[in-house]
Amino acid sequence: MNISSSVGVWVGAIAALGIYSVLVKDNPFYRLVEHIFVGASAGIAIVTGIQTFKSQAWSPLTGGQWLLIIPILLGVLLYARYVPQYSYLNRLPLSLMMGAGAGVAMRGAVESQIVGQLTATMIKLDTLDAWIIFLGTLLSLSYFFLTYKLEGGAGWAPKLGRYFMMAAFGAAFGNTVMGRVSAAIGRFQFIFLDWLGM
Amino acid sequence: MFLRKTVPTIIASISGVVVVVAYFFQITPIGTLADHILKWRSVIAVFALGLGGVNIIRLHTKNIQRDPKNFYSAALLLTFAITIVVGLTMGQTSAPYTFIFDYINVPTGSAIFSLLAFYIGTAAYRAFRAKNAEAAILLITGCIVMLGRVPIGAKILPFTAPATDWIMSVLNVGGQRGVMIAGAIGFIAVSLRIIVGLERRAYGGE
Repeated sequence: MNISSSVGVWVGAIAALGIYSVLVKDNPFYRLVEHIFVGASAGIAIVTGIQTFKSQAWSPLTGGQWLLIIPILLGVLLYARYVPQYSYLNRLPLSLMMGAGAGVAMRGAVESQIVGQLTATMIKLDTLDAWIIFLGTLLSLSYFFLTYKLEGGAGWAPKLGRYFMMAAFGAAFGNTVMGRVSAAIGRFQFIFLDWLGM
Repeated sequence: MFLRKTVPTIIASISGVVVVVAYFFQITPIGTLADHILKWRSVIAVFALGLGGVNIIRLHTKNIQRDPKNFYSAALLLTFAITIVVGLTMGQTSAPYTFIFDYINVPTGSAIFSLLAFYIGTAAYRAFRAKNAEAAILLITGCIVMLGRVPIGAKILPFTAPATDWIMSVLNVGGQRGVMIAGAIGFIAVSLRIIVGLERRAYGGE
């Protein structure tokens, strides 16, 4: 064994061991590492946020883009929630965020999720795979037909659609499991190779 | 009443309509306004991030006040403060800040991410019980993909590697595409409700 002399590697390895210790049971070591992680992550997010504010709002504002005073004032109004008498004022910035967010989501949904997916489905049906994708899309869409219940002769469509969706969910589950296992292997390699030098 | 209900609804409607119209039509003033609104949104989002920071401080300060021996909250606040001070005074490329990111944030984050590899086993036990045809399909595709993704799986059952490729590029695409399109239609419906002011709870209204 050739144990690492790097302080960073020691800190990283002890943090990983702290997290894995919860597999035995909840313990103070795990909770301490977890809280330190939350503190560091939140701190990093705040630092990144302040830098974004500087580059996207403060510098352009002091450079003459006076309109940016509007989002800054609206942003300050978010903190009105701490003053019960004026807490309703935080709805103004929230409404702009939600409205613009809904607009962005809508155009994204139309372009990539509807038009993009339909275009990719309507291809030349000259192979069995192309037919399976085409029918799978139609049948799984029929499962979401909620205007009235498809029964009798038409009832098989949502049922087959459900089978297609289950196959997709199974594949997604398998992929997720392997992704997590691969991450765990990476951590164990870090502990055994980088830290312990085995 | 006007500031509590009407103004937020008007702001949400205008900002939503402008962003959508600017995307589908080439109208220069509306396009410019949409660019402003999207930029404003990202500036307000930074303030919202700060709100999260304030909430963390409030919550953990209360925890310490309630129980002065609560060293978890003290450790969280200390790490939070150190990260911010280091990031703002020394810069994001400084060695201490990089140390926090590379040796505290990244290894702990990936350890937490990988923790699910262990818990997912019990979830798999529950999900992969072939009680009916749907569960059987889930079980079969899930197992084939798990085996096909690792070299040992392809050694034990050689058909799993090509079967995984076929499942991912054909069966998975057919099933997911329907879910995506249906989800997008639902998403558009909710977005429209927000834009026309029927979903005021989204921004704190009643």
